[in-house]
Amino acid sequence: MVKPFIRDHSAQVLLLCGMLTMIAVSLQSTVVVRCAQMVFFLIFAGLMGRRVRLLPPAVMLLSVVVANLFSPNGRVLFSVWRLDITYGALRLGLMKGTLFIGLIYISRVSVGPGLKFPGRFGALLLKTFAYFEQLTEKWPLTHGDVLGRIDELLLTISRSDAGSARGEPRGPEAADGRRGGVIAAGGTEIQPYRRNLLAAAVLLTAGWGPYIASWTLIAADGRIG
Amino acid sequence: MKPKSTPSATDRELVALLGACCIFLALIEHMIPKPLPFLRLGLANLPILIALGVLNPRQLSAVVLLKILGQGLINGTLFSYVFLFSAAGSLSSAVVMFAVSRLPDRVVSFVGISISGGLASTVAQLGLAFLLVFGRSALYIAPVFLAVSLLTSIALGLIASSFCSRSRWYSRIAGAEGRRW
Amino acid sequence: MLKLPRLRPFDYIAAAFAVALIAAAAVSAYSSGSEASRLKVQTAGGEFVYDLRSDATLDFDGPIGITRIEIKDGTARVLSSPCRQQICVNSGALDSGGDWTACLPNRVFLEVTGADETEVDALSY
Repeated sequence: MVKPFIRDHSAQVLLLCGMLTMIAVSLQSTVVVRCAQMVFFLIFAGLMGRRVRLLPPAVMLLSVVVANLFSPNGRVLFSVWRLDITYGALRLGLMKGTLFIGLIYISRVSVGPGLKFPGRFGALLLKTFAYFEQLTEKWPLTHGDVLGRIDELLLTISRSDAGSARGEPRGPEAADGRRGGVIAAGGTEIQPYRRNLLAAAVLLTAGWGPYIASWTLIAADGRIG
Repeated sequence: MKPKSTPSATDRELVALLGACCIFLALIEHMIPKPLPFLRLGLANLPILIALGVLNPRQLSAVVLLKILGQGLINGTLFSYVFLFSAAGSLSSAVVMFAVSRLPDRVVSFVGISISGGLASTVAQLGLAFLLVFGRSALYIAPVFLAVSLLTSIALGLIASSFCSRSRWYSRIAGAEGRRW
Repeated sequence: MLKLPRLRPFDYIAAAFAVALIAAAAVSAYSSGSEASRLKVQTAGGEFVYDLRSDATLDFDGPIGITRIEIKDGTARVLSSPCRQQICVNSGALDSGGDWTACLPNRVFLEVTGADETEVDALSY
């Protein structure tokens, strides 16, 4: 059955769609669309309950744009203190900066709760996250100096044989829990798998939508002309 | 290098534990405010540094892989540019640190290993920044990044050396013949 | 708290190498020197500026046609021009600050500006 499969693998579907969206965004060559997409993914990540901060991306975007302005390329728009601001350089800076930030937030959305990795490495990964849980749990130990405390902590954890003895490893979703928000639509909570699939659909639409729209326009143009 | 008989269950536990430490330290580092993006302490490299003395290349690469993936998951940047930077930095520094750590004990200490690894990581990331984002302007920030990397890697080397010389946990996993730089 | 380790030969070698690398990077970044770096093009349609370090072939519209300019290996030259005299094409490659050529009939004016003038901005970055 297709439906239960998708239900069980919604996190993987989301990740896959996120990667497809990244391809679409990186191929996008219209600078205005690229900027709009970046803003959209930032807002969407916030809506999905992912951690969104505004200052670091703003600083990042600004520094990428400014850095690119030093290689002039094309028509001079205006000059700031002997530095010619050219259209080509501004466009290039915006393209690179928005891609950078856009990809960060697409990936924040696509790594959702319930993501599992198959195979032997997947098992190792889960074991690692089980240890990670223990580290975060037992972290504030008060005994001795910092290095001594870390030593103590590691001794405790490796004695307790965390990975095997300590029940089910809870996997990435455990680490993810602290940023796992829930979209409330009309006051009711949406089930995690539906939320994943919805996010996947939104990502794909935002990424590939502009292309489809422009293709449709071109096709319509062709028919009229 | 310490000869290991077969990859036992304890070794796999050790790999997972060291990987978890990397991710945990990445999380700690993530919470420390930093003046500029990319200027980092590199705390997550400590477990790798320490693992050099106890793990074989295969297990070491598993820890590095766990570190890269875990960081991507924690920061939510898996499969993005940032992930590419962190992967390139981690991989190049691990390869270089492994090579340097094969030098005899009397020639090199944790500090030298750490400096080499830090340099490799910074150079790799600057190379990517040059190619992907900043273009030639990456050259202007290169000296600053390299200098910061030198200072932080010296600090990390000192911490690793101090930790391994007195840690009971380390002497347990490394045994009598485990290396102490 | 930290017990300092005894530093060994390679530690010093690695540190010295790092310092050398930082110095080399600083020198190459902050003294990009006297080589010319920008191509300024004035046309009837506006002013354009390009980095001479990135190769490109550019077309500019003028009153009598298209003037094609090529940037290659840090030099700029006019590849083709719609004018009769072809002075601009024959004046060859411009490579140092102050070099200029023009196609008056097509109102295209090319000038290379030296790094010493413009790199001030990059320094203050």
